[in-house]
Amino acid sequence: MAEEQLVTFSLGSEEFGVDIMSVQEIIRIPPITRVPKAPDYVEGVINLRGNVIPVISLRTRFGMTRVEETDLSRIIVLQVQTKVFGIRVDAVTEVLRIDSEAIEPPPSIALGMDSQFIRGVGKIGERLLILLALDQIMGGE
Amino acid sequence: MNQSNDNNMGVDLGEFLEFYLLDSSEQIERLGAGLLQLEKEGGNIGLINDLFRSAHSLKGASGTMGFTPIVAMTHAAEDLLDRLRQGKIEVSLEMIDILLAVTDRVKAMLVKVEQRQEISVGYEDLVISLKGLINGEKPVILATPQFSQGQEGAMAKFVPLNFSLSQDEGEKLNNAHMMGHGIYQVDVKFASGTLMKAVRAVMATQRLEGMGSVIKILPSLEDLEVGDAEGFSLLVLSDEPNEEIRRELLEISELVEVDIHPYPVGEGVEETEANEREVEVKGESVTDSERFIETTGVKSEITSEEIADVLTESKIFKPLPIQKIAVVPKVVVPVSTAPATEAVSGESNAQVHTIRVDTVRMDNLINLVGEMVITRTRLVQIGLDLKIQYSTDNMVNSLNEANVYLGRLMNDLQESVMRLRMVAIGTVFNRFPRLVRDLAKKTGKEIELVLKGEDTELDKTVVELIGDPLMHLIRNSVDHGIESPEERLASGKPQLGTITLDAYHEGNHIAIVISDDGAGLDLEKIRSIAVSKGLVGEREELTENDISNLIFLPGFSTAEKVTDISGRGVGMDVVKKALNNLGGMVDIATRKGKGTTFTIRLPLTLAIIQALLVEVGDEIYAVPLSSVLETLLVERTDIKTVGGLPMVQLRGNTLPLISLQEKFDLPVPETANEEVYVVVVGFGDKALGLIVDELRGQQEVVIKSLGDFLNNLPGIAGATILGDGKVTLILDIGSLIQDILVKR
Repeated sequence: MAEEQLVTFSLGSEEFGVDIMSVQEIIRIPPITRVPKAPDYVEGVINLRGNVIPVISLRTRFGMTRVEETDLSRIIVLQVQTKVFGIRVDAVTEVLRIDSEAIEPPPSIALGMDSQFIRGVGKIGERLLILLALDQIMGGE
Repeated sequence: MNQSNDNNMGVDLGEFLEFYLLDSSEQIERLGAGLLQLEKEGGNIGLINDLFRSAHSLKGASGTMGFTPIVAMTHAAEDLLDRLRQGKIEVSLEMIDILLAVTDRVKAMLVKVEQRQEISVGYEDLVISLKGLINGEKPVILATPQFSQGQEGAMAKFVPLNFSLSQDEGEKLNNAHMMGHGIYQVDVKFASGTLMKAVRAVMATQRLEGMGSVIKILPSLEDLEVGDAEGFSLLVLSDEPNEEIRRELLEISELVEVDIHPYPVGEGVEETEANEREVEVKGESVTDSERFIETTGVKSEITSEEIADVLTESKIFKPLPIQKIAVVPKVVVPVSTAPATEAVSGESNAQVHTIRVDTVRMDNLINLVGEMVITRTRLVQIGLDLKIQYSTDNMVNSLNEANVYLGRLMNDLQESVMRLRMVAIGTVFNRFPRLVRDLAKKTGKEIELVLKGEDTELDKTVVELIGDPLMHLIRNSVDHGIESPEERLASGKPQLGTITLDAYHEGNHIAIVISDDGAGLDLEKIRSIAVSKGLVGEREELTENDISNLIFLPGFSTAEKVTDISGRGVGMDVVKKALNNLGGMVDIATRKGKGTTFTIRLPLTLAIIQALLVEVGDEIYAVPLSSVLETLLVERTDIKTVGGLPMVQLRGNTLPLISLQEKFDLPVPETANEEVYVVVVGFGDKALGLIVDELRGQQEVVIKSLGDFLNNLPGIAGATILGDGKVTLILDIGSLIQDILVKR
């Protein structure tokens, strides 16, 4: 049976998941350099061992309110095709496996956010995981 | 063939293919350049040899990879060059044309190969043309019946016999040669007292029929029947390895010795003393070539005959004058004892000193060095902090000393690594002689392209991107600059126009100069066209320089007719834009009737720049020092607003200003300083002042891309990482100035 491994994280009270194969690493928040004139969801750029990579604030991207950085705040560094970028999340929760059959297509009425970013909704017992369509998060309007 | 190989070898073939492609395109470049030289200088034997060698290795390599169309074409070209170097035919213009066409065609095929597609490019027409050239002027060589009985006592050392071939047989031999079949002279000895010699010879012929065909037997069967010959010689066409032939023949009773040698085609044997000496040379190197095959174990479609050809290239047969030939054997001895690979061509010596490295690996290395520089800066900082805390501790002092030494090493390392990216601009220049030749032919002009400063090195990225703008400018010089031969004569100039391409270092920049001795720009015409197109006002006062620069405006073209060389009015502004993107600029100097000179100035490298760090609010930005003209300290009250734009008076001129804080939507500081710093930046002949809070000093920074996603932000050229590990953005002065101009 097909299975997917996900890295899950939280934004506020909602839980999200990204395919583990796209995750390069998870880091604490380094100094972020603001980039003027960039789209508002681009928080800035960081130095990842000599490479400059953009960081996206998922909260801004999903139209949520901004929050202060906490001890749990992390940047998940993703590689989607050839692009490497980071997404800033409130906290990384766990790594888990989920049956492909437990993933349902995005509901037609999205969960208060743009449905274009959602690849599907995973059910684990009572928990609902929002699976992200990563190629849509970076650009891809 | 290619396809089946793909299946069998998978990854391996891919690796070979890469080498093959690199090598082949190099050979093609060499061929192209050589052909142009040949056209200029005529039949220079050294040059023809080089060309032959290039064609030959191309054929060999393509054969190994199984690219039959390339083999067929290069083979025919090789044959033609072979005739040329033997002086059998003369260099002609159509010959050069066809050979150049061959290089183009092969290039097209190589592109297909690179894309892992089947070679669908046609080639038969060129092969036919080549053969036409070969045959059209080919004297009948093989049928010269002057040297027929000379084989006695020649068994020990190989002498290519003259088999006195008929026209028909000669034809067969030539065809086989052209198809790339092996052609061998097989010398067979009888055991002493052998009876029925003729029968043995017939048996030998029959046995060999299975592996190829026997063209001729010497002495003839009749002679064998009656005479007391010790052996006989066969002229055999076969693709089988020598060993197979030998084994086959030795199975016939009473045949004791079998010597097999590649038979030189197209090189008839003549009765001159000098020739005999050479023949020995040939024999020696043939054994050499066989050794080469044995030791390397190369069993490809390259026949030993072909390798022998290559090996003996330095010892040409006919065309050398006698006295030169006399020297040859002396030269040959060390060559033939040397490893075969070295004997292949003299120039291999020069190439040993370079290696090819994937640019990705190199960039990675550069990145790592950049990282080390940053880490060292931290180390220095820690050392200094420790010093403050434990100022009396000797170990802290040693640490700081080591840090200083490390710093020096890092600087050297960084410089050396950066130099890896430097490439001679000759690689770009070298494609232009061909371009100019073709264009000149098309326009009926006579033009010589003079290349200078090809050794000048600059960053690889620049070299890659400079090609197109340069090509545009050269096309322009050919089309609009140089006059027709008649016009030139009429104005008292030499018929042959000259375009010079030069490159040299100029401080932190590299200058590339394209100058022609043509008619020069017609300034009045340019002006009137610019006025008629509404690009400038009729009354506007313009210096000559201003007028010349009008041709860089979009939509400007003075050519009366649109040609396929240049014209359509897209050229020059594209050139200017491309150069600006590289951080460069272009100047024009023109004198009526004397010619036009374009001077391009480019930064040496795009990877590292000197930058002025400025502070705006909490942010730090890097301004490329090459655009910084000066810095000023200005009282806020001196800044006036004209038409909504802040301005300041600078030596009688008004200088438009940009507040970076406003431009980049930075938070407004609570307390404004009385005085602000203004960094005056210039791009081309436009100047602009950037209002900043502080100047942080000058520093060398490594430019990093912001990636595809953030690539095209206005005002930002890239990013860099400072000593503290933080990312700092590099300002794009060009686009900032553009912005202001638009607003105005």
